[in-house]
Amino acid sequence: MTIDQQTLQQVVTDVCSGMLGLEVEPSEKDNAATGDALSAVVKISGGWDSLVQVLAPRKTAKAIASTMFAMNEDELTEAEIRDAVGEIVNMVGGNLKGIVEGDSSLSLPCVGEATGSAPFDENFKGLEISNSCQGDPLIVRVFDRSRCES
Amino acid sequence: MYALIIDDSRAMRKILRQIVEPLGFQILEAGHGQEGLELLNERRSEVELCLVDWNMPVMNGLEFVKTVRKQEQEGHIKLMMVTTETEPAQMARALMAGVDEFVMKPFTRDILLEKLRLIGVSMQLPVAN
Repeated sequence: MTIDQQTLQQVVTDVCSGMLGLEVEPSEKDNAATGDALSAVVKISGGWDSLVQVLAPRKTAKAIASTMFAMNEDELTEAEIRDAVGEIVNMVGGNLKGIVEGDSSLSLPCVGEATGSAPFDENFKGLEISNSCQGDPLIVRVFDRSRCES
Repeated sequence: MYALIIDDSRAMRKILRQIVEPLGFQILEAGHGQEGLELLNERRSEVELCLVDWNMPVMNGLEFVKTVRKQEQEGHIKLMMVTTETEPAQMARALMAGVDEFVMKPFTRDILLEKLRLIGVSMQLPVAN
């Protein structure tokens, strides 16, 4: 099975709403919101070679961390905020890996500032969904490296 | 009794703690398998349950499970993997290594409690108001 937008949306909804109780729904992409954002990436290697990225503006990242840690946003440390976004991409990536056929492995999540949306840029051609999470933007991208044109 | 929660994500440890602590367990937390082993060796006779992530730095969950089962002299610590791993071959490896049960992320509190019941974990469920 390959990953399409509907599948990706379902996985993100299951992770964010089903488990964490976050209010998540598809939305129009808000490019301006991704300026000061965190990028969390996991790499899937093996049968399905891909990258999965969660791009969360700081406001969204704090809202997610606040829910996961059951703490007020102003009490959260930077490490806790990054940890929360990292766990989201870990769960999304892990679930996508389980859907695609073949033996693949999942890397540990890598979380950093989303300057230039690394490892993706504005020319990104992979799968992308935009969501409103607790009223703030949340973007999830999948880049299938086996389909990458050299 | 103690429950040992091993996950490199502090957020996930917090979520699991919020579910398991009200069941009457004292909680130990570790960020990877090696740290988990050290905590377990300090309190082995008091730990009833380990909730273990698979994909972690230093020592992953599968290695932790193998080591625990190899070291086990008497008694049986209940080992539950809390993971995104869903591939049958990988799950079979974990079961062969001595895992009692799996919980797939994402999970709900009810799913986790049901899995704990299935493996016979003693629970002091709080009385509903």
